[in-house]
Amino acid sequence: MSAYIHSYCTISRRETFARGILATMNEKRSETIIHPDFTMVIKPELIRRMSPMIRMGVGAALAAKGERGIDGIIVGTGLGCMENTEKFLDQFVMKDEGILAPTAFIQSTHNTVAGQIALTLGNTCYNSTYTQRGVSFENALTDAMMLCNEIKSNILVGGIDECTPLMTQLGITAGLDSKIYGEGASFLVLNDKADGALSKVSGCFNFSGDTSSLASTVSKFLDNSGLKKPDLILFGDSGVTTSGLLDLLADIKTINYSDICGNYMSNSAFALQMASEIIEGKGAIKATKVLIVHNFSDADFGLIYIEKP
Amino acid sequence: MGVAVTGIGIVSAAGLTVSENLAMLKSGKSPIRKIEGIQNLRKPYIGGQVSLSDEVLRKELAVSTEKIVPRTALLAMKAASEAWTGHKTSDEIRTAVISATSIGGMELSEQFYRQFKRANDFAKLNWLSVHDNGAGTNILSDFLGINTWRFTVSTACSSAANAILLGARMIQNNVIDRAIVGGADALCNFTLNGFDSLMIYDSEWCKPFDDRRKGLNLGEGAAYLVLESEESRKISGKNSICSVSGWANANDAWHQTASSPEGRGATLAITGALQKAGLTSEKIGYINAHGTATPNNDLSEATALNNVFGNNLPPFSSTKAVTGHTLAAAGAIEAVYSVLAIRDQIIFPNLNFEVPMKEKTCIPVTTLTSAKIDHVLSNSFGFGGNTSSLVFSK
Amino acid sequence: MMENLIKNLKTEIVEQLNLEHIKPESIGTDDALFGDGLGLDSIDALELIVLLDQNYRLAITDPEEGRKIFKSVRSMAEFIQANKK
Repeated sequence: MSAYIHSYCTISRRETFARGILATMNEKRSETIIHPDFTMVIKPELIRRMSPMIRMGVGAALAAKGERGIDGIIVGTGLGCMENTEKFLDQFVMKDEGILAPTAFIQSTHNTVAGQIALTLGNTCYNSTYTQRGVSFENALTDAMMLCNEIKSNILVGGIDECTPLMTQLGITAGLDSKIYGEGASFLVLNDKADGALSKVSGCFNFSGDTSSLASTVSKFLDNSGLKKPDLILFGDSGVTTSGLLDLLADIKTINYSDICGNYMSNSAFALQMASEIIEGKGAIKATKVLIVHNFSDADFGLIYIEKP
Repeated sequence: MGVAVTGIGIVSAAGLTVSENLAMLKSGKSPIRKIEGIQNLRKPYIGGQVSLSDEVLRKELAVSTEKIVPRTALLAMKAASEAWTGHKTSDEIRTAVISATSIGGMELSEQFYRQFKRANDFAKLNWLSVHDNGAGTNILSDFLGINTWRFTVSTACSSAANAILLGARMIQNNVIDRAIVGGADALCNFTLNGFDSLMIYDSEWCKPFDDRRKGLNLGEGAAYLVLESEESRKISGKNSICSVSGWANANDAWHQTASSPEGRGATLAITGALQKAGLTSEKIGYINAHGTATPNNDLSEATALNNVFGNNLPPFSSTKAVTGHTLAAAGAIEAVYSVLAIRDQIIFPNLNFEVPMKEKTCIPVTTLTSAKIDHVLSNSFGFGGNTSSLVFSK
Repeated sequence: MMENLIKNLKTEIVEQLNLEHIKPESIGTDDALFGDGLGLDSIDALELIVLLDQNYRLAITDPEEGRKIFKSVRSMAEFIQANKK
């Protein structure tokens, strides 16, 4: 099963919205998201309720969509809307009595980004959200690849996660290095047509296992879909685990993309846009077949294979 | 044609197994009562609680005392193990786990948060390791021994319905041969307070579709179904109980929480599911409605039902006056109830209904009824405009 | 007194409802808050109930009752004036 990428947009802690990933990857990462001006594309009545995470999700989605008609909206997010979750928790944890304000609650559900994209567009199409930690985006991508072949139409698929100051603080308390954290939203438009496509996604899979099974699982994944050995691996880890991947596939050039975008559960969406840019020849890195390996936590692996259309 | 259902499992306030749930549904009684055992409740909420403590569940499931496991995952394992009975993992059968949840580990996280915020106490910090939704699905999948294709859907109250339809699609598209699909959610302060802040939590027993309805009662529970392709069944040797023959997912695109007055998303979901199943509306023998008993939802759903079926609605009922609204698990719990309706050719009553709503011709079935049922429609509508419908067929 | 209350209310409404795009003084005292006026929705109605509870210790338990009170800034101010503790 395969699908074609026709457009994309990433909002992150660099100027990726305006200039893409390859052009900005060597610049210093800001402490916070660099937001474009949303007021141009989202009505004030909607934007006022949107946390920064929801704004970047809707913003990246609208920019990726452009003028195209869309018949599916599918989002992968590991943790969902944390700022709103914290806000609502604060209310009832700190106040034993009195009534509670509902806005933070309703904007905290994991499907808020996908729901708000639909609301902004007034689009009643297929709409889903996946939250399978390190493979949340792979979940979304699998669904999107199937859907665009089922209904032969444009599908908007994205990966998004935010990092709040509290999350950073708790991570530090738990002994983690705060520099590894990142956040961002990457949205892409897929469909079943090669004409005019930027790149082709030829495989997506997720599994659980240890490093001893990794090499054989990757081989099987490539064989099952008739895929040639990649000439570049984009590897994402969480900074706390190592999979031994570099040893297993030692003869293939490997770039750690988590070092570029920071660590967050759905960052393989960032890697997918980055891989497409590479395949399109947008930067100095050369490759025609890229395998994205996302190993967020010890045993969870996501695989995405992308090549020239 | 559809995809075969070859296993079902459920745990809810109505019972700890499929047969206990069936007995409760047939009895016309409701287990909804004052919620107990949850610390720091703001109000004496009533709801549908599963009558098993975490300790008892852990013992039954042989979960080590050191392991941090949220209640959602315990409920999931209990229901999934009933559904998975007689199934085995196999290299020849490509299998997926497609679960659903809205709270994930929140019932643990909110306890940490309270201590941390009020007393700067970090004692329960490691409880956050299972906060995210996927953690529970990993625990469930490890428990079942399934290591490939793990998914978690989180689309509020339509989550498990979307998990079921994803499984069916992945099988029909030959990506996998078998899937265990469903969802789980436990009661916690976050959701109890959340729905209360929207002023849609009834302090009394909820009244689905009744004109005097004031809101929902939450519930907790889990349910799973095993779906298989023909090839998989040849290897597993399992019988088909019925099939999932139709499905559709649409978005209301009206408001973040309220449903559109014309029931737009719901109408699209119901119509789409019938179309997928290749059925005209009169073929539906029973509708298990979403029927949360909120003023807004029930009216919107009634409107959608009238849009599709006219004024002559097929027999329908909401079972949420028995289970409470189990959020992400609802679509799966009600899918299992739909399967039972076909298997046993019965229609479950809509409890606590007396006064029909003024605006629509919409009167549910209120007593247990035997009927010839070939096809059942099950609706699940949620926040974020997410609306999904499923059709189950004999 | 009433003038002050009305002025404060407008600022509080903008804050509670996060109306980033609106200056408090631009809200007409007698303008409809819901429907065609400011275009607020059912969630805003609940937030206004919270505002009355938090800032003025006045409880509204029935959303329907809220409809009449929240017709305009003036009707809100009159309700507060009439019921304040």
